[in-house]
Amino acid sequence: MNRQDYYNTVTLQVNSLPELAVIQAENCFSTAKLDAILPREQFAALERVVLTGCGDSYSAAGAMRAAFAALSGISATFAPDPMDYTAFWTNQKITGGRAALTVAISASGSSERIVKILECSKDAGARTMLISNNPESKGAKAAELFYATETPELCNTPGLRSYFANMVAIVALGTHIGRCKGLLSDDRFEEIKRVTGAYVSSYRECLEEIDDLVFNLSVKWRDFTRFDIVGDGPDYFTAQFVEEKFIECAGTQCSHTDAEDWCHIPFFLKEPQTIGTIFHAFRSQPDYNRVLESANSAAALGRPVLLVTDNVSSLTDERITVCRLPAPPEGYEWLLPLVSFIPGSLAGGYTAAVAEKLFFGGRYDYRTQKWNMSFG
Amino acid sequence: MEYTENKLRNLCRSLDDQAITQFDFALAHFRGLLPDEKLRRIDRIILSGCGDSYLACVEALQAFSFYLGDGCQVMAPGIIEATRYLPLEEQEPNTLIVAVSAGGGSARVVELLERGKKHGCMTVALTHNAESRVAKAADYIYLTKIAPDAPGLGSYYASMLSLLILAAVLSEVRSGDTKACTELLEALLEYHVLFMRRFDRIDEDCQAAAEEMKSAKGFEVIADGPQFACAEFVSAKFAEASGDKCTVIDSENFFHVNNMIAPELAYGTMLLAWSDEANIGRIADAAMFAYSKGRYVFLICDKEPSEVGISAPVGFCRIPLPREDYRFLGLLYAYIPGTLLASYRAVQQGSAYFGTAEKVDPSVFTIATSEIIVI
Repeated sequence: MNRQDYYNTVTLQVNSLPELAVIQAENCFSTAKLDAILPREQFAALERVVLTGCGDSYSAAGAMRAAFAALSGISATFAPDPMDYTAFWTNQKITGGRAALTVAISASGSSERIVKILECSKDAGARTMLISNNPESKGAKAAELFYATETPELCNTPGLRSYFANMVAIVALGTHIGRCKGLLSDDRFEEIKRVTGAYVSSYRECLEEIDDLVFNLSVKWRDFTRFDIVGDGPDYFTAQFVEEKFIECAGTQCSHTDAEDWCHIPFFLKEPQTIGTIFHAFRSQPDYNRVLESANSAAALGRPVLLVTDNVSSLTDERITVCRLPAPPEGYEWLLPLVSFIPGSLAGGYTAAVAEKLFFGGRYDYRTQKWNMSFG
Repeated sequence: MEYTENKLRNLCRSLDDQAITQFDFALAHFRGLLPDEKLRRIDRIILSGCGDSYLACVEALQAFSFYLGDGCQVMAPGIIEATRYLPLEEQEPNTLIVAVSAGGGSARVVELLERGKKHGCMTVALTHNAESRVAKAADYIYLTKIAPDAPGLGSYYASMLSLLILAAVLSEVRSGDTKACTELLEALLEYHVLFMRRFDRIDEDCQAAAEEMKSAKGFEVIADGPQFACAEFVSAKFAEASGDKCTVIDSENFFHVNNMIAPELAYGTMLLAWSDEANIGRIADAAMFAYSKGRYVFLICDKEPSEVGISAPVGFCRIPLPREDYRFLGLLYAYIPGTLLASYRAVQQGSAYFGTAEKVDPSVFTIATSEIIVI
């Protein structure tokens, strides 16, 4: 099979990330823009932050929550799912009785749930912000503060570029708040901006190899209808994002979990040889050893396994397909979610393409980049 | 189809006889386990466990919020989060770690307790097995009465109920108001009787739904907020009993993602909700949408589908609504219909619980043998 015949809009977006990273770093780490959103002393006064959104945006919030908390110095940073937040969080829980900011994340800004998130936060006494690429959206109008990601026009279906842009925006916002609180210097702010762009840009050198490896695996996985995606810490949400891509592109039954719970529950699923399983294991992770143990267990059960990693370990079962990513610079391990979704997302796109499935339940043709809304 | 041997169903049924015994046992055991002086100074509680035990911790959060309000930070991170990612101060003498493991063999639960000790926390092992490595790793052993079962059901119930009692006792000690446990027992008895009186009807409804979903390739549960963990428990029972994959999603993200799982006709979809909560509208939307896509839809709720805005002819199982102030008691039972469905599915498929024998090879099944690293 010729990989070029199955080129799709996931591949297209992945290939655009090195260039987008530099642009997005420039647009999101704009001091002028951040200063125009809110005076520095008001950013500095924040004590509690909620990051949330729907679908991919919720994954972006979860993937960057810990980095945001560390950079901003606001340890009380939470990333609840949108229904839990809007239907079950009390006003007290939203603000914790402190100076609180709720950040809703939505590329389009048009979802009713996003408006609800902003309204219930306002009612609770929290300040509200929308991170979005659409300043004219309902969400933008409902929010007190608006943070434009300014993502350049290009295909965003399924939403990889917006997911990436939202994560960069969360990092930039956290870095700026840390600066406002006096925890980070201007130089450090600029350095984080530079490294963010440079690290992702460096993937230009290896994307071809990753793409080829994932394509060849996807050819073998094309008839699978079940997938497990495993990730821990921030990459729990990477796993969630990859799950979303499998469902959107291939319509397969897919779920995400962490490396410990995988051993307690999905471990027991029947017909393991037909369940594509992707593990994310990075050497800086405090539980790297556990992810590796679990991946080896999966391989021993007969599961086809893809290990996404920045390390080569002799302890890896030889039946596992290893996709190696360049490691981030020391001290910047928290940047990994900006790239760790790439192999899994490519697998989602390619398993659909080689099985001759159009995306979104047949409604989106990745070859023409056109929607057919009459379908289904 | 005749369902003669159905162990998981029988485990659900057996809760009727075990609930109050478990309550009395746990209360007697926890009262006085830790000195009152220690209980008073707790300002942070970390509850965790693996698999079902983790879910029991999440389910208990609502009760902790009810009993302790904002006076204490209570969290239930996943075990990997709790052992390897959650920041702990060098010394946290006012933090209580409750590590849950019915059998007491899990390496990661031992690791959590050892981590807690390293950071000067008070550590409690909630387990049935006083001789286990988990029990030995803790400062205090809080025993459960119901023995571990497979698939875990009674032990899950016992863990949840024991955590509720722990919260109530803490509340009594800290507030000086000694009615919390008595009132909890009264509320529990009231709801338990209501639920178990309906058990046979619930069982019939679930058996019928299992027949309707017989050709399903997979399953999904949609639930929000506190009931989300109940949905995850149901998913776990499908994996353990029938080996089927059962995804779990909240009612908003269902619209963003999971509704696209195809072919739609192949997936049985359960929705779990209380009629008077703020998410019910979105649950109804999700039910209607799933139905319109051709899925078999089964609502588990205290009101008929038509009474919560679902006009489509979906399957239905009524479960009683717990009192609003003791709403968390519903979580002790809300997973039962989904579990019954999983049990009937396993019988239909002739599935051996937990699959095949190679899965218990300790070099592959690493729950007990996993390397412990204390951070």
